[in-house]
Amino acid sequence: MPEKVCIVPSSELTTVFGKIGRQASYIVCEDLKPGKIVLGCMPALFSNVQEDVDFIIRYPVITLEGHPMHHAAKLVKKYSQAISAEIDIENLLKEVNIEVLDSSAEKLGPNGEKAAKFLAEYTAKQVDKLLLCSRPGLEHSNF
Amino acid sequence: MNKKIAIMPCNGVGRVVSTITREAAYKIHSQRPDTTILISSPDLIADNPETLLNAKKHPLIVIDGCKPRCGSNILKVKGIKPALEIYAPLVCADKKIPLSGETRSKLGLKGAWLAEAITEIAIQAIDDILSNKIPTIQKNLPFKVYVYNEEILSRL
Repeated sequence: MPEKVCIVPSSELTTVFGKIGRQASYIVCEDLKPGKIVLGCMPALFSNVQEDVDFIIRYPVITLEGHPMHHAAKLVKKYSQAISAEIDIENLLKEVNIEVLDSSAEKLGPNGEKAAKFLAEYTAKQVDKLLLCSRPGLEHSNF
Repeated sequence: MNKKIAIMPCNGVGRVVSTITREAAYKIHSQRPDTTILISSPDLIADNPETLLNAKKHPLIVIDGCKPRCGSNILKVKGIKPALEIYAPLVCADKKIPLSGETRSKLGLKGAWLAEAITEIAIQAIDDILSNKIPTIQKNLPFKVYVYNEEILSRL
């Protein structure tokens, strides 16, 4: 069983979903699953920073996509095909009827905070499944 | 006004300083909304055509957060020469701002202080560049300034 799970938020600077994904990954890492999460950083991965490359090779990977083109997954797949879950934030929030019109790429309003919390809890459930999986990376869910 | 300066923070997620560079970029844009445009590094990594165009079309200030200088590296790989590279740890050391106790998810006073210090440097550089002056900040801090490069000046 894997010891940890790597979360790679796409972290766009100019979209609200980038902000929500980033906040959610911090909530999972620091509050919901402390010690069980490593955060993969897109700019560092692109720059071949060894620590981040090791994260996605060593651990199951969940990407949080803030852009419909799924930038994080595309980058991760250059190093490893074993993405365990690819979560499209906008689609997920639509499914559960959470609107984030009160929020921006820069600042989350109450609904944005609620969305980040929901995404964090959803992601934490995926993390739990992966931590119990004997062959990380082979259980693929593409929301 | 057509003249714009592009601002690209490292926009990472692993370190506090990434949050600070991002906050600085937002502050810069809020202080100079008509003359700046934000560049999202994940969009640039993914070769988003609009982002690529904006990064190439305008003089660009990159704000690196930590030692790998990922922001500058992304630009190098994409063949884009920045007008100015600001390295956040240098500003932090120069202003003697301790970052202990700061978290990635929400900046406290010290993080906000560093973001403000970076913003001041960038705003001065933006105003200099738009006035066709070479940014004066290198007198105080050893940032890399390329704005005298003819190709970059031609973007104005």
